[in-house]
Order: sequence, then structure tokens, then C-alpha cells
Amino acid sequence: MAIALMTAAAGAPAAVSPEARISASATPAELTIGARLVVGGVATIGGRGAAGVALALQSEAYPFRGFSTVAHLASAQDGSFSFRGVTVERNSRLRVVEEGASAASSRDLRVVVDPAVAINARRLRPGATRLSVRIRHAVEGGSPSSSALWFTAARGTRLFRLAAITPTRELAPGVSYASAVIDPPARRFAYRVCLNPAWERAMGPPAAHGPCPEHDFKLPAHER
Amino acid sequence: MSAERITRRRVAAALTAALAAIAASGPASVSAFEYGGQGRGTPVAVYPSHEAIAAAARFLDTRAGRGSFAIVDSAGRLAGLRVREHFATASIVKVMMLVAYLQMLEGRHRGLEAADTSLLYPMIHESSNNAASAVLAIVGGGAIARVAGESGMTDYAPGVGWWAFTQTSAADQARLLSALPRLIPARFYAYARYLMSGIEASQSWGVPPVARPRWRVFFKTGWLPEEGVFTEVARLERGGVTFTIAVLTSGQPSTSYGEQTIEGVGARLLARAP
Repeated sequence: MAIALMTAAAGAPAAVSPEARISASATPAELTIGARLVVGGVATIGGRGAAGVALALQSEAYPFRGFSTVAHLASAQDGSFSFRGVTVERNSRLRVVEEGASAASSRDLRVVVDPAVAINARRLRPGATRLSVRIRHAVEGGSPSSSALWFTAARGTRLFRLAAITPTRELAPGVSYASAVIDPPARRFAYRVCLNPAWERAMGPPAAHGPCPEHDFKLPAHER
Repeated sequence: MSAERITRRRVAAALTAALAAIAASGPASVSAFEYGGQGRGTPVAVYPSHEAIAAAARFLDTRAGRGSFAIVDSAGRLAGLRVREHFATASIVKVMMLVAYLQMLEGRHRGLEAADTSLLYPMIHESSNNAASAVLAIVGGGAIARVAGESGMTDYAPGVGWWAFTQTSAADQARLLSALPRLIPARFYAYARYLMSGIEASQSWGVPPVARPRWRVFFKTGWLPEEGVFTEVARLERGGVTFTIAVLTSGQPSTSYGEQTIEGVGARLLARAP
């Protein structure tokens, strides 16, 4: 996992304090791969902001096998701190801990990372439109090819028919591509592409970790 | 061209509700990485046409013996004549063996090795029965049944005494050919297409002579001369159009007659091709 910091709060490290408490939040809690987030909060001792507390930002990326320190700073005069420009490339848990012997730690902050996706439809000739999807995602060893399922529906209808199943291929580590040439169901149509890739569980919310539909499906009216 | 990322939680709920609302079978829960957009294009008519299917049915009804055919058309719909009637597969069951074998390799995280191609190639290219028996011994009958299930077959029954007597229907076989991209592991799909498009000339009767060169044809033929069984499955692709054909016959009075029966069905289905 790559972590980068752009700025850090100023301040000198303070003596270890067993009473320190750290509250922190990550903003945003869900972001697209490549985007940056901020982990901010406040360190307090006895209910008051504690200046100069030496803090470390720790991260544990999927598959969550242990935290490692990725950045350091000291709390500001009012106890606040802000780790800026943090980038994560897969679902992660973050926490802010006081450096030294103290066990003071913020709660774990869950960050969901979504792939960056570009899709396109290009009319080739009568009866042939090329659909394509390019996805930047977490690097997962080898990233074996998976299947992309393409569904199409004539505009204004809710019945999506399975139009093609094509393999994905990795253009570069962490960048996958799939395309399909389909016979468009109408001059104007909607399409969907669904994937269950190898990196699936490393990214996205739990709701994204299920099987693609293998058959035609119909959306309820409110989803038109 | 607009593009939209579908909010997956929303999709999960929508698709689950949708699948619950329709009779089609589907996964218990539907949620995945799914993205959508709007496209434009010029649709072509569904292929083969109703007229072509009707002409093929009329022709088959004039032929001696029993016969059936099924197509999964370019829109994914099943049609044909006596599509659920049971026949012996003869050698077209080797396509199921091929799928099962490639799935086995995938399950074992293995690539294709010389020992594999030395069985698969003759089994498809020259329809070697010895190679087919060897493949079946390796994958086991359960793997063939699993392929039948995965492809949505409803009329499959294992052969009694010999694999060539496997029971099937034209509907099952047309569905199988339609589902090949889904059934065959992605990394082996090109190899399977290579095998099924490069069958030797003596085995390339029926559909290929009337479809080539306009269509790319992926196919397998089968025959049991003593029973007059002639069978063929084919997947035809051209531009953005794909459809599959299965023709099953028995009681054909001669080899040439049986081959001409299947060729006649194919020719009528391919008439007025796009």
C-alpha cells in the first residue's frame, strides 16, 4: 500500500502521557483509488487539547494482517492534528497512535477504496457497437483474467439482456481492460458491465463483494 | 457518450429485488462491481429470422428418420423444431468433455501442457474416440454432469455403456454452445476456439460448408453409423452477431444423407444472412 503525506502539523514531541486520548476521523471514508484523504482529530490529556504529542498514523491494508506506521507528526497547540494527502490503494484500516510506551490509540478508521473506472461505447457499424471498460484497481499478485459480463437494454426499457461475456486483461499492473462487440438492442440503449475480479475483496464496500448476475435481469421501475 | 458509475449498494438492492420479481433463476444475492452507461448504435435484425427458422423446420420435416434442431439466436432466444426431443449425442459430447477438462485444469491452477494437448487436440480435431475415452477417464462422469448443469441443460443423461450414447436435446446443445464463453476458463478460451474452428476436413460437414467464409464457425460433428445418428453443434460469429445451432438426427439412411440433412438445415438458417 502506498501512503503519501503532503503536510504535517508543527510542534515538538511531548513527553509520553498515559492519560492521552486520541480521537480521529478519516475524510472521506470512501474514495476512488488515487484520491487523497485527510486523517484529522485531536489529542487530549485530561479532557484538554494536548500540544506536541508525538503521533503516528498507522495503516493496515486488506487483507488486514497488521498495522504499520506510515507517517508521523506532533499535535498542534490545541491538540489538533491533521495527516493530509494520505493515499490508500485498497480497503484499509487507519489509526492514530501516540508514539512511545503509551498504548493511546484512536479507534480504527475504516476506509473504503473504489476502483477508478472509465467506460465507453463506440458505434462501429450496423449491428456492432464496441463497449469497453478500463479499470484502475489494487495490484493483486498476477491479477488473473476474469470475465466481464455485458448487459444491454433498449432505452426506456428495464430488461437487461446478457449480451456478451468477455475476458479481462491486465494492461499494466493494477490496470485492467475488457471490451465486447455487441449488437445494440436499439439505436439508443443502456448497458452495464459486471465483474468479479481477483482484486474484488481488496476494494469497495461489502455490497460489491457478490456474484454478478448470470442471466437477463429486470430492474424495478424506480431504478429506470 | 455518457458514463455512469452505478452505486453498488443501490445496484445490489435493485438487482436482488429484480431477480426476486422475475422467474429467471439467478444468484441468491446480486452485488458486484458493476458500471453502466448509455450507448448508441444501429441494431440489426435478430438472426436467424423467423422465416429462416420456419424454412429449416419445413426442410427437416421432409427428411427420413427423426430430426430436431435448436438455435439460440443473436438476441439469446431459443427456437427450433422439437427442441426437447432426446437423441444420442455421438461425438458432439466431446465439447462437454473439452469444457470439463479445461475447467479441471483451471481448478488445479495448471496451464496447458503437452500431455493435455495430446488428448484434447485429437479428440476435437479428428474426433478421436480413444482420446475422448481418456479425457472422460480423467475428468470423470461427474464433471460432465456438472458442465450440463452449468450450461442449463435439462435433458442431459449420461450414456449407458458408452459416452457416445449420452442423452441430450437440441435445446441443451444450443445452450451449451451459447454458454461456452462463460463455461470455459478465460485463459483457455482461445485454445478451445482454435480447436473447434480447425477441425479436419473429413469431419467438417454439415454447417461449416454452408457458413464459411462469411461466418466464423466453431463446431463439432458426431455420427453413429449403425444407428443412423448424425449430430452437429455450431457457434457462428460474424461482426457483432453470434448465434448457435444444434441439429440432432437418427435413422438417417446413409452417411451422405445424414450429412445433407444437417447441411440443409444449416443452409436454410443461413439464408439471407446479414
